[in-house]
Amino acid sequence: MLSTQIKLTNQSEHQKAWDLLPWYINRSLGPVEHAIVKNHIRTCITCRIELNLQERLFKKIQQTDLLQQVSHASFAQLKKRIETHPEVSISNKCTVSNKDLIFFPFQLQFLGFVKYTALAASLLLLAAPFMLNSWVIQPEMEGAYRTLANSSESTDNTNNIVRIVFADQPDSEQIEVIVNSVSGHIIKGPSPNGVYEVQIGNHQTDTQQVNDAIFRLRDHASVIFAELAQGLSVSE
Amino acid sequence: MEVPDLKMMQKPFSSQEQQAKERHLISEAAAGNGKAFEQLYQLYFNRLYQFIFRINRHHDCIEEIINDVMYVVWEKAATYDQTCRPSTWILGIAYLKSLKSAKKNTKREDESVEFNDELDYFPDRGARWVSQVEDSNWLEAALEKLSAEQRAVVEMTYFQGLHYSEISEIMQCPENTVKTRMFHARKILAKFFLELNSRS
Repeated sequence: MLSTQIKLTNQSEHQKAWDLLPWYINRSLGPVEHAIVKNHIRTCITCRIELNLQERLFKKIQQTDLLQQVSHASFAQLKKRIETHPEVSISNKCTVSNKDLIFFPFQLQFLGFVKYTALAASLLLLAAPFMLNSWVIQPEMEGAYRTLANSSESTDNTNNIVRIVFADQPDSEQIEVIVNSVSGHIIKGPSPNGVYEVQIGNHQTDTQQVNDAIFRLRDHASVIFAELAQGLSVSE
Repeated sequence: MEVPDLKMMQKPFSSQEQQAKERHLISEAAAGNGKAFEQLYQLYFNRLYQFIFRINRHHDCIEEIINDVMYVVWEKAATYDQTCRPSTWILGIAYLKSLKSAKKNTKREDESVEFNDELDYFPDRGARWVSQVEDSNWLEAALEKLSAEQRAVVEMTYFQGLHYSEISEIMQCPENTVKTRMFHARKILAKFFLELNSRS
């Protein structure tokens, strides 16, 4: 009888202490309740484990940065939105893909192909005006003002013709040496802007040789511009 | 077993000095002192922000709710009878406003369906990222599982540092209800915590 009573007392004391743990941690309990919890946890391992867990929770809540919480909550809402609509859910996407891949692998690949082809086509469409710009001679570009970047007006037989601008007006001998070093000869120039047109080798010279010549010219300290004439406008 | 290491974390909300200052500001506001009211507003802004956010989980309407709460404080300052702490009175108003807003938001969430083609451009890397986020932020994931009332009790206990009797006053419910809400909240949080530990 006595032992049952003691057991019941212990049980109710344990329950009371267990319930009060959060307020024991936040130190808002009055002295009586505080003492009850303090005495109980000395002997109760269950309450000590719980106290430890609640303390960690308390610390975590106290330390959490508010902005971080806000961003996490926003993300949780977005996640919920993704998960509640299976047609766009990422996890569902995966399941559906794997299942369908067994039966229709080519169909899925084809859909992907169509998507990316459409994307490439739209990019090409966007770039078209700029590409056409270099093929069509624009009337407004025939005026007095032109730059080296303007569209070309002479496009025939210019595969091996390079336009060069020299720095600090070197004398003709120096220019001759530079041009000869890339097997070239001046066919035109200098223009009032100081542009020379130089043919590299002869008509049989291939593109690779011309490109090599351009790279060597660009490496030269006296050359500030070297570019294939094809695609460039005439600079007067 | 004392909790001395947590002493430093106690918020200065409940100090006698702080309460006296708040009481003074409320009585000044009741007399029409705008400056005093502004001071009270600034004093409570962060606290209310945290409190409201914990209950309704929607940051987009928090400022609106804060202003609703403080409008009531301004309007009813003269009726504050000083029997309870100023924080009990103000948080009580905030609690009711937040609950109302939380209910509205739940309804709005159910109704919102917006989709567009941009969804096609998300990288398709599977659901692993979801669990990664949960691991890094188990607390938020766990709080999400609680009811607004349970979250409010956790928030008022662990962040605002209130006694359960004050919480029962704010929530206008018996003290045992507060303890029961905390009991269930603790069960859910412990489950998350243990799951996270076993995973790691």
